[in-house]
Amino acid sequence: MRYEAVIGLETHVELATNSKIFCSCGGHSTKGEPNTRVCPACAGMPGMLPVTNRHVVELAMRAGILLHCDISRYTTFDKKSYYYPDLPCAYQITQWFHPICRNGSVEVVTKDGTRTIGIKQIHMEEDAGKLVHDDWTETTLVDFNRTSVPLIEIVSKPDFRTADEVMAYLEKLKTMFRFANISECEEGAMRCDVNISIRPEGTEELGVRTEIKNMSSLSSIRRAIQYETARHLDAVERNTETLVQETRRWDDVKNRTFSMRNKETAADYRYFPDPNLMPILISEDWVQRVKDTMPASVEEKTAEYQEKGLSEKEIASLTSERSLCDLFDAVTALGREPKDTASWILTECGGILRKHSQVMGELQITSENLSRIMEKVSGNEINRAAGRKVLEAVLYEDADPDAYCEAHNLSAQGDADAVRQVVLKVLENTPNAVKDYLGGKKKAFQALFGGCMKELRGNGDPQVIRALLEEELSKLS
Amino acid sequence: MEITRETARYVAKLAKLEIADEDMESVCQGLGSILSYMDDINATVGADAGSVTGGDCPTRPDTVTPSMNRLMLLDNAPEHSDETLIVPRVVE
Amino acid sequence: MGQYVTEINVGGAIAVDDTIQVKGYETKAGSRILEGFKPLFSAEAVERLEKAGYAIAGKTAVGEFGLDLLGEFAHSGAYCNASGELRGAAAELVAAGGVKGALSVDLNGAPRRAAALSGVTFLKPTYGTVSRYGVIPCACSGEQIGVTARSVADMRELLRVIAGHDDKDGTSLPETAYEYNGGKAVSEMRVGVVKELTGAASAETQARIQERVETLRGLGVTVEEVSVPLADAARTAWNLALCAETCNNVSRYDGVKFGYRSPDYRNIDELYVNSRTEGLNFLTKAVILYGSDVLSKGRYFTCYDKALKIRRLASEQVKALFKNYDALLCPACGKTEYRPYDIKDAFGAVFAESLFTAIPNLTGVPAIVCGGVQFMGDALRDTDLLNLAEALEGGDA
Repeated sequence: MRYEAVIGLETHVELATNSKIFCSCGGHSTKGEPNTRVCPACAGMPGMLPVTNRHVVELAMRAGILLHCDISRYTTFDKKSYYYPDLPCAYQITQWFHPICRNGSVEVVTKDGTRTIGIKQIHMEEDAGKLVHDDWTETTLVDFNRTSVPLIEIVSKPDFRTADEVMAYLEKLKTMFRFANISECEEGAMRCDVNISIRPEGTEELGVRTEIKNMSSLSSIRRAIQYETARHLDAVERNTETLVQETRRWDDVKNRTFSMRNKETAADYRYFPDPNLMPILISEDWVQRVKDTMPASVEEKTAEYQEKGLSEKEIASLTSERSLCDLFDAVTALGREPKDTASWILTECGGILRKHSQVMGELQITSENLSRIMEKVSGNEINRAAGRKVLEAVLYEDADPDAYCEAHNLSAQGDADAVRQVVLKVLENTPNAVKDYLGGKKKAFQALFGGCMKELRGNGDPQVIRALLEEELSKLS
Repeated sequence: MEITRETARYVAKLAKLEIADEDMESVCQGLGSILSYMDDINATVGADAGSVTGGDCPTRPDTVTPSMNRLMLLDNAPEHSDETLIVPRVVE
Repeated sequence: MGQYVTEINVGGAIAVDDTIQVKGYETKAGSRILEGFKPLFSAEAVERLEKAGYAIAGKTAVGEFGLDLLGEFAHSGAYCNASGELRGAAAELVAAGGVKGALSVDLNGAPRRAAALSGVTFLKPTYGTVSRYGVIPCACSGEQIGVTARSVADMRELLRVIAGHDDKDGTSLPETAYEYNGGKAVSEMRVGVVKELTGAASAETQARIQERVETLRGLGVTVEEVSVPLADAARTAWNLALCAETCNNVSRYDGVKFGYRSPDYRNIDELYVNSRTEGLNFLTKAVILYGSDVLSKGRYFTCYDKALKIRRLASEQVKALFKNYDALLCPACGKTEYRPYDIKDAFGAVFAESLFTAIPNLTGVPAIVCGGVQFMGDALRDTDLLNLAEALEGGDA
């Protein structure tokens, strides 16, 4: 008999907000010394009341719109009770009864084709804190910086059949969410719970389901799915064990899953609506405003850039990061030519970042500065090599393009007269080489050329130097 | 309504409480009586009655205000280091 | 500063119940579990009073989390007067002239009972008019800070200071300030006497209601008997919601972040269980267990959700009455004298007494206690209740 895997995903995504979901502490999971982004509210002290961050609601709506969900007109926050030291109130505020988005879908493309994955719901909730276990003292250290950082949880239908589909789905969510400024999706900001069961192909009934909790790296998720599917197959086909519905944990080192039976004997979360947070009523108007102010999608940007004459490769690179598109749009808005702009961002900036072991996503330059450098080069004020030099100084020394050119005499080096002065100086200072060249040793030209380049600190335009050298040498012969 | 000791022990476990044997009787009784009142009410209130109340939730803008001094958190804690609260090791 | 204020005479100063945070004062809410807890901020109502120039006289004792009848089950011991009667610490202090007024949290009627027994005035304002920021929370959907005072004039003065919108409380109503002036003239009012509630009280209490009816009639008020058939259901619903919400809110006291931690534990679970078991009294534990039960698997829709439905139905029922009546008269408590009793009987005792007080907590309408009786009013018509109380004040004098 052939079996197929039935896989569903619960994906937690940290939202790109300035502040936490119910208080005004800086909301970012990975920043700050332990317990420095904490107030009485997110430390669970009594007396503070939650007030919802409006941007969280709007980012959740954005996600729902991108995943073709119905946006609820009436949505509530509910309390989920359980004890764990990372949960300061012993309850988590989440959405249980009326989640903000329902019934969506997303298409995933793998080498086997395109499939549509159903989205059951998206809901908002607060994150828990961070625990660090100290084996030496047998203690656990508690850090509340991450408590109340806003999350959305995207609950898929059990529509995945392979790990490849799951990978494609997660990659797609990542791109989509980064691009729409919903989440920065960096390491740890996207975490998955994976539900798996198997059944004979062609049948409808679901087998025993296990859930693997809290994985954040794509490679762990892939290996966990492969391991767990194989375990289920062995159990069903070769009776290696009896499957039970349970929660399991993926061990990245041992490369297998383990039962977490000890932790959750009775998952009875006693949900009820939070009396401190009245229902949120979402009007048609509000949804429309969110749609209208939503950053253009990858597809829309691609079409726009095609029209501007960019190559497929350039488009793919630019649309890999929202920030690159924003920079490109801003620089072209300042009047720079699109093709040239793409080349400066991808080739020149990209090259310099690589040299400094950074990636494109880390590029930080103002559109004004990049535009100014491009202008200097296209206006022949400086040559392209000098332009690169200015760019690097702007990127890594926080230099101002004009001031840098002036301080390093760069503008002058575009000027033939100044280069001619250098050439004449080199000819005067190296009479031996001149004599050799004039005596027929053509190799001596390289030495003279090198001398000029050295004098110009590598900033001269080789063609101009070559031409002037030849011109001046011919005058001497 | 009958409330068994088993039920009482189950909810006590959820609430991280221990109920002494001599208190069990009155806990079960109290719980039973409130639930029997509930039964009376179920007779009065139809299943179709809506529980939904109106009201639009006020929201706040996404701005950051300074967090509190960490010392104020640690000062109140029964056990702590210079940076964190401390509890017995949690087994995953 | 763990000492409670009991008999100091500071004239214009205000006392604050131990369930309301005042920065710099240890706030225990009458419980061992909060021993040593130093709040990092003051409640909004306290802050407003201080800004307006009122001195805070100190904290007044409450029973653990304010869940009992009259402060009889505080960790530090019951607060009784010399004759062994329970009348509530804040109300007695106000009655004795020790302070101008007191702030209390009306969670399940305790400050109303106390005012009735001590012969002072207490207003539980309309839900959402006074910020709950800084209240040690139990049942957020209906608990409300109220004011105890000797005269209605003092009451109006203090309410004006503390009421009004607060961004920090998401259930706070939008109005930025309330004047508590004007309103309806008492002589034009119609008052309904709630027969289900009056009939459930002691003969002595019923006689007192009858006295007030006569006084009101003398003032030109039309008084008639009315019925609130859902009064009993409202009491059950409120106690159920209270148990559920309190269970959830006090779950944060776990020995990890602040307050009491049991010295006796080997692992995290024992730390939780022992700290809570040793730190909370029997009444709180009972409330937690009942709350945990009504929210647990399978019970949410038969219990908690039902309570929410009764909240809506009861609101409609009193709303309909307020179309014809400006206020509803009923007892604030069933008897005229209370004495300490066994804590095992506490939940039943509070449940029984909350018959008289539950409707305002459940539905959010205002209630005033004056001259030993209670008037409920329509939402946001607190001023009319104050007018009535003032008229009775005059009538009594």
